[in-house]
Amino acid sequence: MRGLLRTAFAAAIGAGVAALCWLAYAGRTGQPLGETDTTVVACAELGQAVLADLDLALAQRARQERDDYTRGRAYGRLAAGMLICFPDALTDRTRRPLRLLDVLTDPRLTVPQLQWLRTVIEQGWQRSVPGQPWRGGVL
Amino acid sequence: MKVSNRMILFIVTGCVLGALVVGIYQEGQSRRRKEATATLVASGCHGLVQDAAANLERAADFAERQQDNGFERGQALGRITALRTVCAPSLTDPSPEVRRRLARLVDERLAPQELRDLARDVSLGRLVDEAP
Repeated sequence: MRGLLRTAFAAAIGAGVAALCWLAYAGRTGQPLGETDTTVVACAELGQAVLADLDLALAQRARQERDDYTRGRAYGRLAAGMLICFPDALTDRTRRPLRLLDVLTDPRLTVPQLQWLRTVIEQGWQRSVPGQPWRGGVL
Repeated sequence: MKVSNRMILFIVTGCVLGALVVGIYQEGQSRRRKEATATLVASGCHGLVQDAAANLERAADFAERQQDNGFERGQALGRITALRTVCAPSLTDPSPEVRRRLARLVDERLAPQELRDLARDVSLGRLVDEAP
């Protein structure tokens, strides 16, 4: 009986040490859950592309040039990102992601409004994990 | 405290078993999530193709009425490039022909028929996952 207890204790210690080693290794490499899959990378790229479009739209707007095409491209990429990367975005009870899209459709959008939109989207993209709900800023 | 050889063997065995269990659990979690994401991406990609084609059709309608269609053309390009990025990430750069046709979307004088041709090709997947 005593031998069995000793065995169980040793096994428990061993398992604990192994689990800790595994977690430490995963934390060090930054790949605990295999999160380098292509969708995650592609979603990150898409987020960068949306921000680049918004920057371009901002520059065009500041120069009082037409930005319909650029705003449209940002809208298309943002809508695609919401649809594919953040599945609950389009059915979100709060409609927050959809309101972000609504804002972009306004041709009279001012530079400060566009800047604010860019910040909200940037923060949202940083906080949200592809495949999980959108955690963007409050509108 | 004297540690017997048997005790050392148990601890090492425990380490190996523990690592194995955690590894299998992590792998299972990762696979489940990947499968769920793949299903979601597949249905999202289908929706994106439809949306991009609809944008191009609307752009053609606006062009026929001689109205500005920049927002629709932009949306179409945004969605097509997003499709290529997320839905077909293994593809290399678009062929020169695909690139030329997509670049044409910038042009506000693009003829309605060319926009409709693009809409048809997007629906058929020609601008996304295969060279025309």
